[in-house]
Amino acid sequence: VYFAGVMVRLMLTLTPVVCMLSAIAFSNVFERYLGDDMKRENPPIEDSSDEDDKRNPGNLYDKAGKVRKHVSEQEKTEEGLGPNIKNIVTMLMLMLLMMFAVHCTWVTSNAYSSPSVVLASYNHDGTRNILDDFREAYYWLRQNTDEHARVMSWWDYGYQIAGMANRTTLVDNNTWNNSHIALVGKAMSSNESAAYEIMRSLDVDYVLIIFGGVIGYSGDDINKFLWMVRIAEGEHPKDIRESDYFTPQGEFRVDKAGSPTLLNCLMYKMSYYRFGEMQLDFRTPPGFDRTRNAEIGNKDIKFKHLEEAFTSEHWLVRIYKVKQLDNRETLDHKPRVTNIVPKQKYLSKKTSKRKRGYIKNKLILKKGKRPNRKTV
Amino acid sequence: LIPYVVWEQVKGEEEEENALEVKETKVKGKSGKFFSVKLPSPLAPGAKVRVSVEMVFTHVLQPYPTHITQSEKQFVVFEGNHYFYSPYVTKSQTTRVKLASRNVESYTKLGNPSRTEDTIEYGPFKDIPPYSQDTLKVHYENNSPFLTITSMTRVIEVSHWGNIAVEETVDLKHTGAVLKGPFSRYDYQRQPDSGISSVKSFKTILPAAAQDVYYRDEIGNISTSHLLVLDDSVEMEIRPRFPLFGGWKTHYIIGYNLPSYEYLYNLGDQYALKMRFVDHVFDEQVTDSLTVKIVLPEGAKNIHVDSPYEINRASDELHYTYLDTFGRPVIVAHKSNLVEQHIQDIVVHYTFNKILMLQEPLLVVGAFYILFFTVIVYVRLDFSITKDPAAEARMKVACITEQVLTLVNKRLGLYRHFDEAVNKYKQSRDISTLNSGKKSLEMEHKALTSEIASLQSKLKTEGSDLCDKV
Repeated sequence: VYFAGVMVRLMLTLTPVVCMLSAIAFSNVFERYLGDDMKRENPPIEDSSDEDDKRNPGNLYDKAGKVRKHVSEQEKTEEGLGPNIKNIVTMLMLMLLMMFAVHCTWVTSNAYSSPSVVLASYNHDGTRNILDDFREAYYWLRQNTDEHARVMSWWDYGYQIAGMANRTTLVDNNTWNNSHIALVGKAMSSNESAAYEIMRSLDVDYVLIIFGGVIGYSGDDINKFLWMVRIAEGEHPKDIRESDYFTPQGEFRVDKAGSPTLLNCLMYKMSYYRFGEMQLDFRTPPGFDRTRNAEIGNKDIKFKHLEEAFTSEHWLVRIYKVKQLDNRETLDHKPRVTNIVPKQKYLSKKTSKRKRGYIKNKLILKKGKRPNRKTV
Repeated sequence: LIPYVVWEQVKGEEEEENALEVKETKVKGKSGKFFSVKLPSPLAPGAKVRVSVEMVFTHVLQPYPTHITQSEKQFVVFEGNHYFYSPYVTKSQTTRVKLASRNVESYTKLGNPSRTEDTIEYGPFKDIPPYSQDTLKVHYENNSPFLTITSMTRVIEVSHWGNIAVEETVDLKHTGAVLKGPFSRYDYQRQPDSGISSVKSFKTILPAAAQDVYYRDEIGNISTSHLLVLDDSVEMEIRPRFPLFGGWKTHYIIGYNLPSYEYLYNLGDQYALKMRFVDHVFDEQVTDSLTVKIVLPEGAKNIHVDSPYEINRASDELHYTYLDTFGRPVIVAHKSNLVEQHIQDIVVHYTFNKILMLQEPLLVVGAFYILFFTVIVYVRLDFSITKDPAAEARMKVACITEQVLTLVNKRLGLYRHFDEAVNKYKQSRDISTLNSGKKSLEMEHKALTSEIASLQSKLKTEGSDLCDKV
């Protein structure tokens, strides 16, 4: 009972307890209201059958009838609950049980069993609108990527990718390797170049993230982002600091007032790529994130090492392809120009004696002649 | 993807309904495919006859450039023949090329062609010798969907209980210009001309009586589809999970049930199944390879297939499913390179003994019968290892008491007879009958009483206290 109270998902542990208790209650009630009838009626019937003697049927019938009537009259005066009340109570209990079964099936089908892979929303006129983005993206991965492609995503979607998209993942729901998950978290929270190094070392082909800003889905990766940062900080405290991602006031904001580390990290860029141009409806400015209810800060996002491979219909799943290294790396500085002809020809003032490389008092030797020694 | 002549049909101009007989032949020394056509009536010298020939080619339009980005338009190249390739002299000929759009990049200029909005007309050419060829090349914009069904498997399961189940497994690929670079969902949704050569959805027309239609793939039901039931067909607007760009492929399974009275005909024991060999998937479809499997009910014999065109039949297989003992015969047929004109009926003849239909329910009945029989027998068996004397004595006593009871009942019956005899005497005052009856009754009574006494002694030996009660 304690576990069920702690976490709603563990309500199942409450089931056997509730079943047993309710069974005891119902059986007690029924015993009281049904059992008494049977016990009282049995004795009079038995008496009459014993007295049914075939030798003298005529007389004895009357006697038995009289005896029976007498007993039943007695019964009525002794028993406080009449048969009517018993019937009503039994019927009520049965109806309660039946309604409960109906109610349970309705509640579980509506409230407790929403498959989180297919999202359903209801329009004003009651029709159901199905958002099948997850399966769309996973099926695209399955059909249109190389069989041996590797997908990097947060561990929540690992089994889904392995099952539906049939591709290798880096981390999945079996979260036994915390340092590996921390590496993925570090890649998601660093800026693009640092993340690219990690992705090259892990040999990643595709990166998959969940973005709920267009439809207002609150379980997306930006909401889980702080956890990624914390897990990464646990393994790499020198590179990632959680406080970097908050504003100086200590808030987690994605708009212009957000911290620059957050606005330049890979997860932010991947979530909001091209989102700054998108205007969802005329009341809100372009780039308005419905989940965080804020206009995003960094609208002009450009990637150097990633390329958008696929985005699902309602922008829920975004897949990026990791580009290979360029054939030639571009230089950071301008190349040096070496063919400049100087405008003025500079004449050196140094005489032959003062030029560099000139040995002073050099002995000149001629063959056949004695050298003149000036200084001895 | 080599261009391939797929379909040839020749029609006489007067009788539009009937197609003339066409057969493939060979001409010595010349390359290419040749067909011989049988005219309806012999042609007298100097007489004229009008014939119309329809030919369908697949994979003839090559995308050029082969890789395009999302925002570019798709251009294709068509290479054909200016002249009519025939073994006879052509006196006068015009060639008209009808294009899909007005945007033409380039085209060969033989004989000063005239060009209207979307057609190019060459000719008329006069007195062309036989077997003449001249390459015709047109490079133009074509944004119509270039979908190809790379492989399709069609399974038709026939049941004599009134249902035919059809299931088609389709592998689709977009064979236009391959997408190069990123796919931007923002551009695709907001710009009207982004990705115009991509395929968002297509319409499949199913047979009119199709019911319980399902559209699913390997990971589950695909929710993006619409079904429209019309009078003469069922239209299904299928949207693949994601829009298909060049080089992208997808896979899906579509299935439905049909009532068998529309497609299964029978005369006594002879049955004939008449169904379409390949059905409509989308307009102007191109199928690269097709496999058709027809599953007939168990016990179908003398199977004979009539197909409207050549098909490759593989050996018959056996398919085991519910309540099958010796398997259902499966007819397997392959064909490659099919177009919309191949949607024609195929007839399968077979004989089926009607009694065999009872086999399925009898099998179920037999299984239950054996189950219950075994349980009944098992319950009555005695598997105890040691003889339990007390239990045995109890059983014996029970047996004896049963016998005693039957005897007592018989005695009661005797009393009733005695009563009847007394009543008769009261009515008829017949002493003699009364006395005879009384004597016989008394004798029986004695016999029964002695039997009861003997049983009672047996009980005593058993040492039971029931003998007192008796």
